[in-house]
Formats: sequence, C-alpha cells, structure tokens
Amino acid sequence: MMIDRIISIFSESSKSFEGQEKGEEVVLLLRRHPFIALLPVSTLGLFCLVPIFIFFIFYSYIVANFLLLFLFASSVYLMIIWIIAFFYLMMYTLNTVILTDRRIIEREQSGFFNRKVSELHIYRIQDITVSTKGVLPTMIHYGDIIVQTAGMEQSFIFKQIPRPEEAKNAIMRIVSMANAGVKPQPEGVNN
Amino acid sequence: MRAGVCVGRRGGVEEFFNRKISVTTNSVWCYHKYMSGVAIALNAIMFAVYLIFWGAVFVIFYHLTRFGVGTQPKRFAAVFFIGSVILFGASVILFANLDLASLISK
Repeated sequence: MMIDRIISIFSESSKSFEGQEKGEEVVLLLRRHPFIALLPVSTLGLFCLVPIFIFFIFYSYIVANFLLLFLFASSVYLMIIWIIAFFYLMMYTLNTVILTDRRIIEREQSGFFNRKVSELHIYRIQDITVSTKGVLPTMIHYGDIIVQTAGMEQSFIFKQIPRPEEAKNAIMRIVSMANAGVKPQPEGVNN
Repeated sequence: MRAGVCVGRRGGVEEFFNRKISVTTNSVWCYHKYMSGVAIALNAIMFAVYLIFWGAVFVIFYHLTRFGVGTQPKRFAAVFFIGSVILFGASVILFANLDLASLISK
C-alpha cells in the first residue's frame, strides 16, 4: 500500500500544483525546450571527463603514489558536478507555464529562493503571437509565445517553448472552448 | 599507521594506539604531533563538505518534489537522490581507506 503510493508519484498524475483552486483542472503544461537544459548539463558532462584525462596523462605517477587520494578527490569533484547539474535541471523543470480551464499560470524559478508566479484569466486573452528568432530556434523548433491581454496590462511572454505553433493552437483552442462555456480537455503537449 | 596523539618520549619506546613504537629522534616526535593535527583538520573539513553536500541535496530534492508540476520533476528527484547516495557512499568509503599518515609523510 505504502510502496504503491510512493511509486504512484512517478506515473501519470492529474498534474496538481500549488495554489490550485477547487475543481480547477490542468489542461496544458508547457516547459522550455529540453535543449535549454541540455546545453549546461552536457557541458558539465564534459567536465566529468577531466579526472579520467588526468588519470591517463599522469597514469604511472598516480598509480605509484596517490591512487586512493586521486579516486577520493575525483569522487568529491563528481559530487560537486552532480549538484550543479541537478541545479540546472531543477531550474529547467520548475520553470513552467500551466494552462488550466480557468487561467494561465507562469512560474519562474530564478534560484533556490527566488520564484515569481504570474497568472492571467483566460477570458482576458486577446491574441497570441509566436516569435521564432535565430538559426537554432528555427532548426530545433522552439520560440517565444506572446500572449496579449485585454486592457493596459503588460503582455505575457513564455520563452523558449518547444513547437510554439502547436502550443499556440492548443492555447487558442482552450480559450475558445472556455469562452463558449465548454470544459476544455487535457492536451498532451510537452508535459 | 593511523594518526593520533603522540605520547612518546625521545629515546624510549612508548605505546601508540596499543602499538609499541620507537621514539628515537626529535623529528619522529614532531612528525606524530603534526600528523594528528592535520588528520583531525582533514576529517573536520570532510565532515563540513559532506554536510554542505547533503544540505544542497535536501534543498534541490525538496524543490523538485514540493514545487514540481507533472511527473518529470519527481523522476528527476528520484534519480538525483539515488545518485547522491551512491556518490556519497563511494566518497566516504574512499576517504575511510585513505592513509592520511603516509600521505602527510610524502
């Protein structure tokens, strides 16, 4: 029973989030393109190879004198790399745009204790623009989604969203359904 | 030989962690005193490093499980925690097997 409950957090969930209202359902969950996280993590992956290179360069000296010390220092070095890598992955995975049947919530995590949450009711959405600038975003299909609201409020910009055209269409569909009084169905884009 | 408190006197045979050791010269006497201090300092440093490591692990794990939406952050948290335990275990085993006394003498 207990094990089932623990394992259940890794299976598909109803995507509950902090501050969710009663009866509110998550329809679409957007994150930045995985490439954004892959870039620093793969760089750190290369840094993991440094002890291996040092070992092969100074092989005879290390084996003769400091093998255990070298292995120990490498393990501490890898622990530091591990923490930094998961810090970047945490930043990536906690920066989300949640579209529910009532509102859009943007959660921006900029550090361990620096978080910004903005929200917008979907009936205030007027138009959505997709902006893809540069060679890389064009090639691997990511871009910004700019949501214009009614009134003088600042527009919402969701940065580096993968397949922004599809995401834009999904948001428009959800907004239309909500405006027509139909309950939107969950979309499977980028969760 | 493990680091410890030097109890020897010059020109005699004294017990050092239940072992009989010869304390013949001034350098031997100083060497053991120095070794003890460095070993204690290294142990304290490693304790602090491991404490900081587990502090960082806790903060990242907490953020992933508490604020993550969907299944991806929970999977990251599981991989992160298991990896952290393995790395920590390997590091502690390697540190325990280090012969600090012989390293300092080199």
